[in-house]
This record gives sequence, structure tokens and C-alpha cells, in this order.
Amino acid sequence: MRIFSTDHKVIGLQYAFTSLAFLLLGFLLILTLRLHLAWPAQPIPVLGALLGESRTSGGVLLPEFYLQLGAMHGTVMVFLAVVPLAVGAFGNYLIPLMIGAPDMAFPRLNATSYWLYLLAGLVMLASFFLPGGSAQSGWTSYPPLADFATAGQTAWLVGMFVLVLSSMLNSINLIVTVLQLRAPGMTLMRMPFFVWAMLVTSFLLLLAFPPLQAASVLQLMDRLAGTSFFLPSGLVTSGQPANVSGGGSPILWQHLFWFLGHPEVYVLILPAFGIVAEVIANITRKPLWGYRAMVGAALFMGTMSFIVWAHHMFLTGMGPALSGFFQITTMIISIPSVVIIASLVLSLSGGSIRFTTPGLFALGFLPMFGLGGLTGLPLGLAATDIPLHDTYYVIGHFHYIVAPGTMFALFAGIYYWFPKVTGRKLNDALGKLHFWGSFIGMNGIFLPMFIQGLAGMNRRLYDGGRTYQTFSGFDGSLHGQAWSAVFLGVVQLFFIVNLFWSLKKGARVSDNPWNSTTLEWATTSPPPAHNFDPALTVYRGAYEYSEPGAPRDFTAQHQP
Amino acid sequence: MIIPYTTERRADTGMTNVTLGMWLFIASEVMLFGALFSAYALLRVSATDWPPGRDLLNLTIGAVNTVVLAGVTASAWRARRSPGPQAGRWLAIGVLLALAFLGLKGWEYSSELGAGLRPATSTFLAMYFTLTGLHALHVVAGIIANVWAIAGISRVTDAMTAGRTRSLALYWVFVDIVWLIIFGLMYLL
Amino acid sequence: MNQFLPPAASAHAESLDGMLLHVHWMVLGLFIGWSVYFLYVLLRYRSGRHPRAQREGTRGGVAIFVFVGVVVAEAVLLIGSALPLWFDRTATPIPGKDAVVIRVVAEQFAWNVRYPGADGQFGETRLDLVSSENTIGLDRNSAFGKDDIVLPGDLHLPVNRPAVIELSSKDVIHSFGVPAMRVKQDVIPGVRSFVSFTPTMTGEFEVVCSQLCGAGHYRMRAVITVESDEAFRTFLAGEAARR
Ligand code: HEA
Ligand code: HEA
Ligand code: CUA
Ligand SMILES: [Cu+2]
Repeated sequence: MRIFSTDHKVIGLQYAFTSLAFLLLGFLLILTLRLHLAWPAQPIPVLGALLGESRTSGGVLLPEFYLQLGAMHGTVMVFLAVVPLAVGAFGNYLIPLMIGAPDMAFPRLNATSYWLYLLAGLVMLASFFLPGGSAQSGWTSYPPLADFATAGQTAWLVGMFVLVLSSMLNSINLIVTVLQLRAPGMTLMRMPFFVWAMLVTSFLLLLAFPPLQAASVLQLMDRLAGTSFFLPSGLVTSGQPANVSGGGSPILWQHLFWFLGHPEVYVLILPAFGIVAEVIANITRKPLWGYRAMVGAALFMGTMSFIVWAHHMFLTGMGPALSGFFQITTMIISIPSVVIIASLVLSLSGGSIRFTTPGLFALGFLPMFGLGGLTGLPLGLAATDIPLHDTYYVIGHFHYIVAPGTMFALFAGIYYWFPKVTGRKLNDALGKLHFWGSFIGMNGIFLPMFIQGLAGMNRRLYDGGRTYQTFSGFDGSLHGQAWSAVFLGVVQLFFIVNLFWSLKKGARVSDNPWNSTTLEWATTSPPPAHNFDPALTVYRGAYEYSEPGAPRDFTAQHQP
Repeated sequence: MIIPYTTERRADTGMTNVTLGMWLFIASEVMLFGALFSAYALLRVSATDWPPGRDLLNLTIGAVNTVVLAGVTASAWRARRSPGPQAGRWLAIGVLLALAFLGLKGWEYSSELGAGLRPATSTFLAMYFTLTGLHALHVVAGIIANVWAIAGISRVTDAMTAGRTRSLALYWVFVDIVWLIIFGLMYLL
Repeated sequence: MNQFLPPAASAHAESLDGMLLHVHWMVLGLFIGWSVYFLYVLLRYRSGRHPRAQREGTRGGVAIFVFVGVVVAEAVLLIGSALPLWFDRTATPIPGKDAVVIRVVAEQFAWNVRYPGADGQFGETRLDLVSSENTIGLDRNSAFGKDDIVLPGDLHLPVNRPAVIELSSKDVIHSFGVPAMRVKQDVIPGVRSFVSFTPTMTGEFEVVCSQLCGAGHYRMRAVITVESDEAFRTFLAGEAARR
């Protein structure tokens, strides 16, 4: 395997391993943070000493380092782990295979986007070793705080700039590939739902990220050239009137950030919907219920996601008309999610459900996403957002979506397509332990957050809220959350061991071990360079399972 | 390896890969500059005072540069319509004009900086330096792309060169339109 | 669910809690409904019990019913109660005669509370007067500035009288959150904002900074002491005398 390959499968795997490494990093950051939250006055064993005196004091995290952990956990997870894994790895590897193409439309561009991603990741990583450490103003980097932050923030902005370039190239490539390189007969409405989901995702990446790039340029100017884009007049910093021209607006950053930020959350969820849809069709042995409605919902969701951003800013003092508008759009945008989830749940009915390992993760996704999505509604109404904003309730809301939600979908995808990539299967027993362990661990961490949030406990609190009487009495649940996080980490060993062991020693399987209908299973495992020889023609929709009169319970798309 | 539709159009989309890719790229760039122009609007509306651009900036250089950049675009369109080596000549003219644009811009910058006008001086100047700087980066990128296309002429098929010049023509039109907006916002309004 | 919430110590807390409860019942209902159906189909259609899939699956009826239900519920909630409540919370207060108007200036990491003093008017502040003694740069020589009282972190309010708190920030974004009063408002430098509420319970309540504002964010705390009108007057008189 060449390192500087332009084969989409190699690049997909490069994305996969890099982003899994970042996933692990994101977890280790937050594990440290959770341990500290549980016992904020006690040194963290071993780790505390390793971190050194610039980050800890006698093994107890410093507030500055705590904030670095939180900000970088969010950044790493969203931008360097989950999106690259979902779009870079799954998208690159699977899209050409699923539509019957020999490669991506622009193979060299594809390699470029991977290397830019790696570069951005390394810049972010290196920022931990700058004086003052990494970025520490939250993953949202609100100015003026971020304008005045240590050098790590500059690295964050530069990293973000490079990352947006990378994702722009990647998304152009994916869109062109899907629209241009479909095999003969692969009409749009015959495409697997996963491909549709990735198409919408790519459009979101293409159009929503540039404003963040613009914003990061403006913040870089503020930090390096002394401009005041985000600094109003009359600031006082460390007791002195700030020496800036002023006239800027802190709210401007929030608008630019959330204009990206909200579409970004659908970038985190759409690929997950796609993977879960593929797996569910396969384990139920029947076509997806409401495929057309799902496609429509995905398109609608993509479009709407550009006009809901200010629901993150209800408490900045927006006028009633504006907030009224954003409340209504927020309620409207929850409908396509309901359509997609409902279609997936209804697809189960009448099926012949096989509880395979990918199946378990895909099924686990549904109620977990449901919980996360439903708790978005109280946040979407400005009145009820007043007590909940910036509390652990928000953290609970979106982690249910991204952790036992998106991450479960990604795990489902890894278990499901591993045989395609390697010709071997991941071990089932280990896989099931991984599922049940993760399920328990995640809920142990995130369920208490709703209660903490309702009690008003804020996020990003260095001492877990112990300064305040109002949030006292959570020691028990904070300890429980820390132990759950440790447990969650231990359970991942089943996965890591399974992954590396099965690469070499896993049971060999046929080219189409799951008896699936879509095109990626029509070639060998692993697929040869250029995927299909000879090229395929497509004759039917993506989910022709259990057709009456067919010899087997699945009819592949390329079967005449 | 042969990727389909690299040079010939696909029937149902009516485009080649490169053309579609370029349109998508431009869409993304529109969002980038759209965000910056929105920032301009928001900051200007909330500003207590906003100097008229012509009092601070050199309107002559700005106007000359507008013409020069239009020349780059025109030459890119000529290249698009010309076969092989002739296309190269027009692209080269485009490179020279684009360099002239950058030279003039650099001259303007240095006289402004010399007069003590810096990004940190006021929000107007901050916006001016950011917008024109980012635009200048796009001109630099265009120069690199032109040179790359010229170098490719003898190496790739004519059909591929035609695809490249088509995309370049689109790109330069975009860069030109952005400049016109910047010129209007910063120098005139 | 009320037992999870902090004490409700302001006049609008009840309606807001009611709304919170309302949304959560709806959300919980949907979740439980779907979970029951989900578990049922998993058991009913597991391959062991149902070896051959039916291609057709569910007919649309149930699903459409559920969608419409959700949409209607959301619309009713939104239009029926959320918007009016929100408008009430954000309407610019017209301080009546008995309202108490207090200014709070946020800085890393303290809340400077400022009472207008006997004249009931706030004096001017100037940037160049800011120092470690005069944290908000109050101009004692300005028309109304002589009798203003500035106390870091110590906010007193009389019970059952509307309070309007005008907010501003010296440096970065903070957020003035009082869980017990069910108010929270970002305090953004360069922007004047306010919160208004009527405390209905005496006692001490915490102000929690609710926007990341730096390393000391976690300890940016203030206390609101809600007391009888009389005690409030005595407190003000005492502070005025101390000056
Ligand atoms: C992938 C990520 C993702 C997704 C999909 C969503 C989806 C939604 N989000 Fe969320 N959100 C985030 C990620 C996400 N969000 C993040 C990261 C933040 C915080 C950022 C920060 O401040 O750091 C946030 C914050 C956030 C806020 C701001 C809160 C605050 O700061 O005060 C709001 C407010 O409106 C909101 C609303 C919503 C709504 C209404 C949806 C809707 O789209 C949800 C619609 C879904 C449903 C309604 C569920 C439907 C399912 C069922 C009905 C059946 C299920 C049951 C079974 C199968 C058993 N979100
Ligand atoms: C996609 C996004 C994403 C994901 C997946 C996660 C996952 C997790 N998050 Fe995070 N989180 C955010 C995005 C995300 N988070 C954001 C945006 C914030 C806000 C930051 C801010 O305040 O600015 C946040 C904040 C946040 C906080 C609040 C901190 C604070 O306010 O101070 C907490 C607290 O518990 C938390 C916990 C967790 C936990 C326990 C997980 C777990 O689910 C993690 C589980 C992961 C694993 C168990 C790793 C598995 C690893 C492998 C499988 C590796 C295999 C590797 C190889 C084979 C090489 N997160
Ligand atoms: Cu002030 Cu947080
Ligand atoms: Cu959002």
C-alpha cells in the first residue's frame, strides 16, 4: 500500500485510521476531565504527574488546562474525529463502490484533502505544547475572550482554516463523483440512502464551512494585526482600557460561527442516518420503509439547516421578531428528523430481524438519537431555553445524538463493512460485548446530565459546580459519571483488540457475507484497484430484499 | 486509469467533471465572500462613523486595477476560445496582467501603510485590508493555476486543456466580480 | 419533575416551570410511545419468530397519524405558550413606581453591583477613571454620581417588588444567570441588556456566571439577598452612611 496513493480506498483507510486515533485522543481528553470533575481537589493518579507543572499543580488540573481539555475535546471530536471518519473514511471508501465508479472524480485532489486534514490535525495537536497551551475558549471560540487568549488560539484558527480547505476539496469531490460517475442504470432514486445522505452532507460542508473560514480570518486579524472586528469600543482588560480601535461586534462572531455550527450538526448526523439505513435494510431483509420520504426529508433538512442557527443565541438579547422566527424554523427542522427516524423504526415492522453486531449498534442508535433529538425541543423554545441554556442539559442533548448516536452508527458501519475492506469478519462475541458495554457506559455518563441540567448546573465549570450551593448534592452522580467513563474506556479495548486481531486472524468470509443488495458487495473483498472489472450496469433499486418469487431473499442491484 | 467524463460531458448532467467541480468551488467561494460582505454590512450599520473610502484610499489606483483585472478576465475568455498553443499565449497575457494588478495593489498598500493607515487603525481599514488581502490571495492562486495550465498544454490532450481553460475563465470572472463588489464597497460607497 | 428544579423564587417561575413540565411530558410521552412500539417490533419480528420478511411492511396509517400528532403538539406548544412567555420575558420593562432599578457591571471574574443611591439616578462612568478602587470608573463629580453605591458581588432586592437589572460588561462575554429566579441573560461588552423579575421569596440566591469567560469562570459568583422592603431600606441607608 503506497502512502501517497490516489486510490480512494487507500485514502479512505488513511482517513479511517487517522480519525480513529483522534477519536481516542478526544476520549482521553474527556476522560481526564471527567476524573477531575469527580474529585476536583485530588491529584489524578499517574496522569497528573505526567502532565507536568505547567498543566497541573501537584497533579491537580489547573483551571486553564481544564478549559483546554474541554475546548479541544469538542474540536477534536467534531472536526478531527467524527466528520473525517464519517465523510472522509466512509464516504471515500464506499461512495465510488456503491455507485459503481472506478474511483473518485478527482483522485489527486482526494489525496490532497487527506494530507491537508492531517496537517490541520497536527497543527491542533502541536498547540498543546505552545506556551500557555492549546485553545481554551471553548470549541465555539467566542471573542472577546478568544481574541485575548494565548497563542494556542492562533493555532486553532490556522488549523481550522486548513481543515475547511480540506473539507471543501473533499466535498466537491464527493458531489462530483455522485453526480457524474454513477454506473449506467444507477439513477438518483436507485442510489442507496447512504449515498443520498453523503450528498446532502457534502453540500452542507461545501456551503456552511466557508463562513467559518471567513470568521477565522477575521479573528486571526484581530489577534495578529490588532484589528477590532469582534472588539467593541470601551473595553477594559486587566484593569486598563484596551488599546484597540474598537467599533467591532462580539455578536458577529456568534452569527458566523453558528451559521456553520448548525449545518455542522447535521453533518454529524446525516452520515449516521445513512449507515443505519443500510444496516437496517440488511438485517430486516426488507426494503426501507419510506425511502422516498427519507430522501426528501434529508434534502429538506439540509436546506432548512441554514436558517436555524440563531437558536444557539436566544439569550444574547435578540429582538422578539428574530427569536420568534428562529423558534419556528427550529420546530420545523425537527420534522425531517422525525420522518427519517420514524421511517427507520417502521422499517423494522414485518421484517425478519437478525441481531448481528452491526445490527445491534444500528438498532441502539434509534432510541439514543430519539432521546437526544427530543431533548432538543425544550432547548428550541426560547422560554424554556432560559433555564437550560449553557447547562449540562445542553451537553446531554447533543451527546445523546453524537455519542451513543453517531458513534454507534459509525461502529455499526465499521462492523458491517470490515469484511468488504479485509475479506475477514470482526469477532462477534467481542463485538457484542463492545456494544452492551458502550451502551451502559454512555448512558451512565449522559443520563445524569439531564437532571444536573434541570437543576441549573452549568457546563464548563472547573470544579463541577462546587462553588455553588445550588448545584451541591451531585457528588454521587459525578462519581458515577467518572466510573462510567472509565468503564466506557475499558470496554473500547474489546473493539481495539478485535480490530487488530481480526485484520490478521479474523474468520475469512465470502465477498457478500451479509447477503446484501448494494453494489459494493458485487466486487471482491478487498476490491481491486478501480473496483469493478468489468464495469457494472444497474437494473433495480437499492433494497430489493425478499422479492416474491426470487430465488433468494435478496436481489442485487446489478442482477439483470 | 480512466475516470469517465473527465473531458466529455455526461448526458444527464450536461457537464464534465471539471466544470461541475469548478461551479461547486465557486459556490463555496460565494459563501466565503458572502460571509465577509455580511460582516461588512453589520459592522458598517452599527458603526458610529464610517469614512468615505475615497478620502483614505487611492481611487485612481483602484480604478486602474479594476480595468487591469477586467483585462485578466477577458484574456481568460480568449484563452477559452482558442485552440492549444494560442490558449497558452492568452493565459500568459493573463498572468502578466494579474501580476500588474498585484504590483499596483502592493504599491497602494505600501503608500497606505506609509501614511500610517493600518488594519488596526479603524474598522474601515480593517475591513479594507482583509477583503483586498483575501482577494489578492485569490489572484495569486489564479496566477498559479494559469501557469499550471500553460505548462500542461504540451503534456495533456487538447480536450483536457480546453477543460482547464473553461474552468479558468469561470474562475477569473468570479475573481473579477468579487473585486467589483470590493471596489464598490470600499472605494466608492 | 419539579423536585429536580431549583427553588422557584420569582413571580414568573411558576409559568415557566409549567411550560418546562409541559414540554417534558410531551417529549417523554413520545419517547415512551416510540420505545414501546420499537421493543414490540423487535420482539415480534425477530428472525427466530418471523423467519421470512414481508416485503410490504407497515401501511402508512399509524405513521402519518404520529407525524401529524407531533406537528400539532409542537405548533400548539409554540404558539400557545412559548412565544407569549418569551415576549413577556424580553419586553423592555417600563419600570413602574415601585420597581427597583439596579445596574450590574460584569468583569473577569466579579459582578459589580451598583445602586443609584438616594437620588434614584445613576451617575456617569468614564473609561479613564477605571482603577482597582473604582472598578466601574464612576465619576463621583457627575450630577447623580455622588451617592451611588457600588458593591462587588452583593445584590440586595426587596421581596415582591419588580426588579430591573441593567447589565453591561467591561471585558468579555459573561452571562447573568439566577437559577432560582429563572432568569439568564448574556452580558456582552458593548451591548446593554437587562433582566427583570419579581422575587417572591426571601433568602439568599446565587448568581451564576453562565458563559465561559476565562479561567475564573467557575467561581464568578454573586449572591442576591431578597429581604423585606424595610430591611432593604435599612441596608441601603447603612451602605450610604458607610460612604
Ligand atoms: C448531530 C448533532 C445535533 C443534532 C442532530 C441536533 C438536533 C437538534 N438540536 Fe441541537 N445541538 C447540538 C447538536 C445537535 N443538535 C450541539 C453540538 C449543540 C451545542 C453546541 C454548544 O453550545 O456547544 C446543540 C445545541 C442546541 C440548541 C442550543 C441550546 C443552548 O445552547 O441553549 C438548541 C436550541 O434550539 C438545539 C436544538 C435542536 C433541535 C430542535 C434539534 C432537532 O433537529 C432534533 C429533531 C429530532 C427529534 C425530534 C427526535 C425524533 C425521534 C423520535 C420522535 C422517536 C425516537 C424514539 C425511539 C426510536 C424509541 N440544539
Ligand atoms: C462529535 C462530537 C462529540 C463526541 C463524539 C463526544 C463524545 C464524548 N463527550 Fe463530548 N463534547 C463535544 C462533542 C463530542 N463529544 C463538544 C462539541 C463539547 C463542547 C465543548 C465546549 O464546551 O466547548 C463537548 C463537551 C463535553 C463535556 C462537557 C465539558 C464541560 O462542559 O466542561 C463532557 C463531559 O462529560 C463530554 C463528555 C463526552 C464523553 C464522555 C464522550 C464519549 O462518548 C466519548 C466516547 C469515545 C470513545 C469511547 C473512544 C472510542 C475510541 C476508539 C473506538 C478508538 C479506536 C482507535 C483505534 C483503533 C486507533 N463532552
Ligand atoms: Cu463570567 Cu463566566
Ligand atoms: Cu443548532
